[in-house]
Amino acid sequence: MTKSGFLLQISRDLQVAIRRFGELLQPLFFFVIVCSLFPLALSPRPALLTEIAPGVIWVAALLATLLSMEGLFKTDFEDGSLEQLAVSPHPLPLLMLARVCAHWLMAGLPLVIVAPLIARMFFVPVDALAALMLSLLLGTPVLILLGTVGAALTVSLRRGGVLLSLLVLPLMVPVLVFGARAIDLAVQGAPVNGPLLLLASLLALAVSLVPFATAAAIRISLD
Amino acid sequence: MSVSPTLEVEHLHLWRGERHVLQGVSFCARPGELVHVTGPNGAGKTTLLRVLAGLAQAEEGSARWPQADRANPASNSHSSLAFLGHKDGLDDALTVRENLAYGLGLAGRAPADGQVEEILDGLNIQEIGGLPAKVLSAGQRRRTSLARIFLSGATTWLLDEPYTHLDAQGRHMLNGQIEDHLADLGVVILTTHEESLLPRAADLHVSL
Amino acid sequence: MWTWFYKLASPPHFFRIAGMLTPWVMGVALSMITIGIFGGLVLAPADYQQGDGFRIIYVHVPAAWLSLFSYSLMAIAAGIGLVWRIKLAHAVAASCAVPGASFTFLALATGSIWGKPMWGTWWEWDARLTSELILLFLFLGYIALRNAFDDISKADRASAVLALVGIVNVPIIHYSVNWWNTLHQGATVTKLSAPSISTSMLWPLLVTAIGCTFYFAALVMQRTRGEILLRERRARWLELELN
Repeated sequence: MTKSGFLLQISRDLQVAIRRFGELLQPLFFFVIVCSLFPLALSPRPALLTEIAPGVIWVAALLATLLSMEGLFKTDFEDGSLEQLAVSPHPLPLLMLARVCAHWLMAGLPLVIVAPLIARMFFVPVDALAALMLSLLLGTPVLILLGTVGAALTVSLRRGGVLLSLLVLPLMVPVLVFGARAIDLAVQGAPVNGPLLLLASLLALAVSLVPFATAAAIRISLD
Repeated sequence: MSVSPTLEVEHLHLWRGERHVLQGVSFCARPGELVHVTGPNGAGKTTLLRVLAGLAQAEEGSARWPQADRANPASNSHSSLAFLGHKDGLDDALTVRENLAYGLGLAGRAPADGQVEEILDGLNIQEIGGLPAKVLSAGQRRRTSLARIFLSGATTWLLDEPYTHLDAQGRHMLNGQIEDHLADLGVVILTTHEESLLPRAADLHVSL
Repeated sequence: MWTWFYKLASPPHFFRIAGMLTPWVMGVALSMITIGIFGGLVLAPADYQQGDGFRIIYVHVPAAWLSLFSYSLMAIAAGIGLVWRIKLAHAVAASCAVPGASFTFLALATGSIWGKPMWGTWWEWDARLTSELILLFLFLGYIALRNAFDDISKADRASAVLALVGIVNVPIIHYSVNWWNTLHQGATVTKLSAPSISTSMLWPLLVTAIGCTFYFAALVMQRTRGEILLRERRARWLELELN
């Protein structure tokens, strides 16, 4: 029963997301636009852009993820679906993990795919693109996991959006540090195993702990 | 009175800020009983149902489901429970049938197609089964969420103002289902201000 | 032992015991701080490298220690409150937040003042200072979340979840910031690098740190009494207590 609960939730979330395709693309556009502001604000000098690229890409990815989190539980909270989720005999943490997976497929994976393009616009060498994608592949799920806790805690509040950012941004610091550093090392042609392994361990830790916190937060918000 | 109760509620107390909403609610529901929760607006009827559904926490007291506990002590108490709140629990982007399939999946049920069609037909929503929930009227939404309750296979139905938005035909259908469920030794706990709408006299009145 | 514990965990008992203890704890705290500050500012010799500038450690180190201590205490109390549904634990957690944030701010401010003679700037992206800054953000987020709820019991539980997620993250953040810092600055001047701090400098530091911890304890007890008043304002025992 538990496995089918997981698949049920993922397929439902994906189905809903595809019906609302327009909303799905917004975080991606946001990511691309924010990244393209930096050359305009600073200078189009290739050396400078290559140097700031890791930080810019990671900060933009972080903000784009955050932007997509606010709506994660909002409609379900308002239309009562979340109540049905909490009443269900399926374990709530597992259903939450399913939501995270579905959300990552829609809001995280597109960033990973588009990021190399942005990186080329910042004159990041082609050799570094694999490390860039890998760091985002490992890091964006952690961002989304942390974001779901914040979203679950603030879903019952009328204006939870800004608060959500205040709560989870400090928690995202390690991901930002390791992720940006991985790209930085790759640009310099140095080995990137260190930060990537650190990101992987963050991911393992977050996957095993965060769904429980999110489930607890959902129950509190429904009360 | 040899039948063991489906639900035992003892001394539930709950505060909302300054308000003492539930002031020591106790009752006991046995298989086949219809429980009518009554009280003026703001008396805590919805809160009581939410506590029973496990959606709200009472500060004191307990709500136990002895049979469920015995069957599977590790399961949470509401493993055999269907809840209908003020909100329909339908996603606007999904169709009636999709919403229903998802809702039943959450309840751990996969009823036969024939049974689903029978219920949809009875509720007069078979025709609109392919429409997204956002174009439905309030009554049609309510019928869809009722279909989920009817097909859930749960022992206990918790229905918060189930007659809202329903026309005479819908209320008739609902009452028929409630009577069948009670005959199958299920328990129905509901709130409504119109006692005359009930299918029969309630076995138990819980007045708040 | 357990009955004693349960008794203490009941708000009326805590209210009374804390009411009796607070003045004494505060007295001990203030005298220890006075002795420690006297030892640090007057008795201890000036540092051979930093001159009198080093004396700010008698404020900075206790503040930095208490910033971490208060976050840990807050998270532990919040966890106890969440798991065992003990109202008193939530009240303690709520009481830790503002003093904790204040000590964190104090640690940042004194660190920054210290930075002027040390590095020649008011702010340096030093690992410890950066960690403290993020800790301050965590405190502010906690306080903001708590204030966003109207219902106290909901605020208690929601902020408890945040505190628990936060406490798991604190060591990770600390590690990541250290890691980041060593990569970007090479070997930085670590403030407490002096491996052989002389006894005449050390004892006042320990005394002040312990004194400040007592001060924090007194503060939390007093604030917890306030939180109990807020939570139990409709309770009968309180009416009897106050009349």
